[in-house]
Amino acid sequence: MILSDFLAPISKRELHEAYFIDMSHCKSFLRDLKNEYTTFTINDPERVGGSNRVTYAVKFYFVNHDPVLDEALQRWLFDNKQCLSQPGVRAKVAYRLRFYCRTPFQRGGLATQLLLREEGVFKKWGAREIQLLAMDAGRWVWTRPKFGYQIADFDMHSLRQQYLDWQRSQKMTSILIAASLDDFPRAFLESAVNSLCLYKII
Amino acid sequence: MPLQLKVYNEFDELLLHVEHVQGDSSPLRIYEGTANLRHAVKSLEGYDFERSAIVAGELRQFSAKWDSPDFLAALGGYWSSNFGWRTKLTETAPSFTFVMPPDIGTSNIMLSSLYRQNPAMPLERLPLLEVGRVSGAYAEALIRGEMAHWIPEKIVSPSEHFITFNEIDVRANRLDILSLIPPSLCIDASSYVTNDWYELSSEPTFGVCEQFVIAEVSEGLWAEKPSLQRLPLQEAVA
Repeated sequence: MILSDFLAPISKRELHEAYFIDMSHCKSFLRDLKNEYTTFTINDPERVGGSNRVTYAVKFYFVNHDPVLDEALQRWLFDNKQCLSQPGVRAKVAYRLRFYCRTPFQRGGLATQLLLREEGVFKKWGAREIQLLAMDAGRWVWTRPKFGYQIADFDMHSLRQQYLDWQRSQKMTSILIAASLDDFPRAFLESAVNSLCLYKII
Repeated sequence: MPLQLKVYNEFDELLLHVEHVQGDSSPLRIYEGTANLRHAVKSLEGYDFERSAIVAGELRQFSAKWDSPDFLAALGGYWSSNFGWRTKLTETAPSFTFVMPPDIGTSNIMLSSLYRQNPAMPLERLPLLEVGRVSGAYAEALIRGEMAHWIPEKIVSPSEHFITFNEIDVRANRLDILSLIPPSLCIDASSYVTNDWYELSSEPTFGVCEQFVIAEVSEGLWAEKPSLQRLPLQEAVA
């Protein structure tokens, strides 16, 4: 399969343009971000499991060529991946991997704008859901309700088990049961779980 | 060859003991497990497993078809990588038929001797399991629930009790014996179709052999049936 067929009905250019940032919506410390310097590297489809997969990476730079991110933003697109919302269904899925903004440039409005634009283009491509592998600080950040992610039953029950054992190891006097994803405390997610598989239906 | 997966937490407690038998329409059988991990496994039923995790800074994918022998390896690999749980994957014999030794007498014996003939039996249960030799009529009455006080007090774990007995009335074949098990003890008797251990829709679980039945009774059942008394096996047999 060639890349243009995989990406249809969107084009490579359209996907790239999702990462053009409107600086007027960012805080002043991001105003020097230069869209012309943004690098967008996309690979041809490869066969992974029962699906074709396209991987791509994006890097943002300021006008002085300093990078905005600690490492390249990474995304995968699958044309036939198992949906976490409905494990019996395989469909187009966009997979969010790394997004590490350098500390001085966090909370400047970049993520808010970028994630929204991405979701628009993923939807236009035909993605049924976005899956996310939350790592590092993202293990807690992405569980916040404002981002709209959910967790599959399997992962929720596994997480609950780990939470019970974690509370015991912390010698907590009263053991809590997590009823929903945002009930898990930050200290637990960032110390007792390596990564979290989350999803969002779009 | 069936595969068994055991999962342990950081306290070295068994979180889950599950078997995968290839070729079965429902290949997963849960022997033991916490409520959370039982639910986790049940939620996978009928679906392929696909998860990713970070292992030593690298992204690793764990995937397997539902009916594939790789399923438990993928599941265990994911749990181990993501939560640090210790997992143990072993091959087991497909089934067993136990024949009671003729010289067993009326004394209780430790089940460890039986394990050598029944390698499919979960190992950690053995040291505390006992087999009581009871008459056919007594056993029949027991499984009818008429002599429910005949229950060994041996406790394998804080939440489980086991009843073992042999010499079920030989006039009945296996399925007839199963039909005698009262609903209060057996939630889904239709699950018993061969002589192996079975996972039921909920506890308790029973394993059935040619000549004896092993029943695992949950703490919940004790709570539901306060009339059941826990008497020493020796006393009951005598």
